[in-house]
Amino acid sequence: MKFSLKTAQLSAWVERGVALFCLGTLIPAAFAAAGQVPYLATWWLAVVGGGIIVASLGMMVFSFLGRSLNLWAMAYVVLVTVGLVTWPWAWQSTSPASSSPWIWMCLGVASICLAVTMGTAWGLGYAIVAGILFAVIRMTPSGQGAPLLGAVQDMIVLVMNAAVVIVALGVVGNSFKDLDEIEENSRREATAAAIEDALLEERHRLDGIVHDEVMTTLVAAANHPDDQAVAQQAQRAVERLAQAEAPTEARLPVTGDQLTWLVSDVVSTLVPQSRFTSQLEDILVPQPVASTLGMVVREVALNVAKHAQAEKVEVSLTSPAHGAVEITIADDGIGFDPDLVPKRRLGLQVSVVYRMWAIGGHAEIRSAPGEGTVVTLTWTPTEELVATDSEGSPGRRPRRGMPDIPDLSRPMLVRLVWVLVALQFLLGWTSLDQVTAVWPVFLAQGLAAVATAVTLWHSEEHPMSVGRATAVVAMLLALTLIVQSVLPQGYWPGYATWHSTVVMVLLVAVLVRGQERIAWAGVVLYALVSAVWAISRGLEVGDTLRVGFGPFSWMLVAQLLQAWLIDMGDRMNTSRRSSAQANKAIAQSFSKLVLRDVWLTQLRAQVGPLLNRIADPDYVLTAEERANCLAQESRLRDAMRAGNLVTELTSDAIEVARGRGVDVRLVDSRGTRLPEDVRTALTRHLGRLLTDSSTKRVVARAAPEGYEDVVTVLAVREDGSSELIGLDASGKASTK
Amino acid sequence: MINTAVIDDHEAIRIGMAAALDANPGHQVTLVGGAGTVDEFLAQDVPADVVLLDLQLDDGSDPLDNTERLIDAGYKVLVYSIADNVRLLRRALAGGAAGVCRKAEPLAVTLASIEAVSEGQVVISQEILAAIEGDASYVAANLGPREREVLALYAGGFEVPEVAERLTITENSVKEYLKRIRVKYTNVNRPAASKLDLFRRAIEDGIVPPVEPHQ
Repeated sequence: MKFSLKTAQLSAWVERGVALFCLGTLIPAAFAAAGQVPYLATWWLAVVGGGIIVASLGMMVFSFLGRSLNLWAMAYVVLVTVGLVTWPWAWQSTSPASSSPWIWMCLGVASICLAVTMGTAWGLGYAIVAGILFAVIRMTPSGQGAPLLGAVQDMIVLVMNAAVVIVALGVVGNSFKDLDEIEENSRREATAAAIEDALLEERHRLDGIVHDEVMTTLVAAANHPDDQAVAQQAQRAVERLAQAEAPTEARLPVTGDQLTWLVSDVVSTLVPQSRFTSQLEDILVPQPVASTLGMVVREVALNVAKHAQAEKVEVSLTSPAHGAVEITIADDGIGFDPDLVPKRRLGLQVSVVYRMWAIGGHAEIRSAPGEGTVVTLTWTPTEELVATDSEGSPGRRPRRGMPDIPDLSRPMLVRLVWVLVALQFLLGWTSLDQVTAVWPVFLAQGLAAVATAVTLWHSEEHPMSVGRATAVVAMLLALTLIVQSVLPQGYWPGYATWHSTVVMVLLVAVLVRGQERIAWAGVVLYALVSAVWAISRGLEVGDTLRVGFGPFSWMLVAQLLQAWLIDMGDRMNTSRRSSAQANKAIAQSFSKLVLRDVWLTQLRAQVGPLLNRIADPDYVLTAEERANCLAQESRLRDAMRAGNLVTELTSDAIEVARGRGVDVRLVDSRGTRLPEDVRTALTRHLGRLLTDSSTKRVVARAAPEGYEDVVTVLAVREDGSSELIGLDASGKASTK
Repeated sequence: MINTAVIDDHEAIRIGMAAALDANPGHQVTLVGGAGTVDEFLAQDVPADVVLLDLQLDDGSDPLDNTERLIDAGYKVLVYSIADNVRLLRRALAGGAAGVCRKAEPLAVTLASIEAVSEGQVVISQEILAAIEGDASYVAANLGPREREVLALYAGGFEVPEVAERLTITENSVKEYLKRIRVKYTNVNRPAASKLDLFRRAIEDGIVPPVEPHQ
């Protein structure tokens, strides 16, 4: 399982949110506790009260340090639970409490803490158990001796509020997970596409040089060797190639995907029957190491192609240790006696073992006659390489990313708002005995339903229109006045003040939907209206604050979270942009490596000496060299026009056959890569026909896509008889 | 005598062609001019019959445009190139090029191609037909079953007599099929800007008899 970027961001985001929530809850809890502190036992206050404050502060500090909150959160849950269970014993007064135990405010937060650390089921389970316990305690004298109805109301509110937050977190979590997958896939596609693009561009550039300069030079030299114009042409070709080879300033490390590409490209041009598996993903290899690995793999593959006579060749790339690379090339060919290697195949020793040794790697060659050969190449980064590579290198993912604005699944959140509002209606109905008249309550609820509908109307628009936001605020104030007009004198009417939660939820929704000023104006007006009502009805200071403070504090939390998320979103976009740039830079750097260390190396080995001789104005080409010019031109032409059809070894065989006077033509009417089975079969058939001394002409052609035979090979013999071999998509041959 | 000219952005090729013609007497081809681009060539107003045209010129011009402009100016066009990028070859064919000849080919082959083109023949090589066959959408939309068979065998490497033998038809019919495929391709892929162009092309291709002026 790979470390998931977005889920990590989400958990960081949620942890900070929870910490903020715990800390924020302390404020109204402190107001509620103000009237109860004198009647509570000192030991209880010190352990539970002090413990809750310390745990809240600890969570806040740890969340901003980016460390795990689990221990603090569990401590918080334990303290709150102990506090709830021991409440009746902590209550020292003989008279019943005048208000609900303040610790209820922490119960919902504790269930959210549990949901975040242990999982949703635990959180919901805890909310239900805590709700029942709280209802029981509410009915004791220490819990204000509430009637059953009031206790059940409290329980419902507690469970529903906690459930709403936990479900909301779940929704956000799921959308983050989806986002994670999409992001990861698009990152892979973008990386692969960047490599393909960069390689194609380099390939075109090189083909341009080969076509315009090298091949032209060869043809001109073959036909009219002793000409100044030809020597100049050759010089230009040599210069253009040198330019293409010039090292670039950016030599970025090579990623696992790129190394896999390099190895499979190098091997499959030589050994078409090879199969690849790669488990290299999160590694970075310095360019010099990657290019040496490429060269060594090429040597091994050449040996397999020339000597092994293998049916199957398995190539695997793995990372045995952090940052390390292990490449295994195993064939089922004839094998050899390794003890004879220094004498028989000095080449393998020098080009494989010493080269690996030079980059601090290791090569192991295991073989026995008749049992195939296994070559294992390993490279492990040195200490400081591992250290630098786990820091700011572009391919690495940070452990803790920046949060992104989650694309919340709207229907779910819209439904949540409705559930919350409906719950408040329910509470209002169960408190109808508290009000002086019933019909204004229903009128206010009708107005609340309209306000909710207006708030959630076209929730995909951002921001919502000023007119609608203003209308919502006006309706909320109106319904507040209506509810207040029927509330009783002199005491706290319990859930008859259901409207305050509706006001809070809808104003937060207005804020989130981009009308911040209107939402804040609404909160201030609501607080004023409520304060006037509380004072005029002779309520206590705590109750007065309770009415105005709820919406105010929630608005503050929402506002802070929103500002924070927007900031993080900006930073996320910046980092995404720079990672796209880094992606492109890496791909370009890699394609330069391929150009330099694979393509140009091959080209130089093939025509370098010949070009230099042509470029020398004093050198006179021999007849043999002139013939070689044409042979090399044909070979380059084959590679460019029908690269799909030939491997390097087939090209050698074709060159020899042409030297004997055989007419060999390669035609590619297909243009896309041939299936490996077809390539393998084609290599075998061409090898046989080209070495047959009676063959006079060979034409190999890749048919356009859609033909039954993917490739046809026509061979005409000296006696005029001909053989047409068709290869189907699985490489099976049929003779016609 | 056949007057020819070479349009190629490589001086070595232009000079080389002149040297090769001088060094191998006994043919009737004379090199009368050369240029690096079609613009340059047309400006010189060279009295040539056959123009050897490189597919990829330094100015990045399109082989179709180049071929059409040269044909409009009254020249016959023989593509003379190195690696025959299939797409560029199709463009030149669509422009009406009469044939293709590789630079690496022995001089005798080049001379024979020039002579054939100057006599108004189209050079039907395996090269050209393979390029046409690779244009799958064209083949599917425009060729009959017999034409496709002939094309596939010829592009696959069989010579005309072998194709004839395999399909039990005469060599002449094979040649006829190949020529027809070639002409069809040229027509289908040659954009005709106006009705007048279309008419002119039809006359050029012998589909409509030319309108003789009243005497």
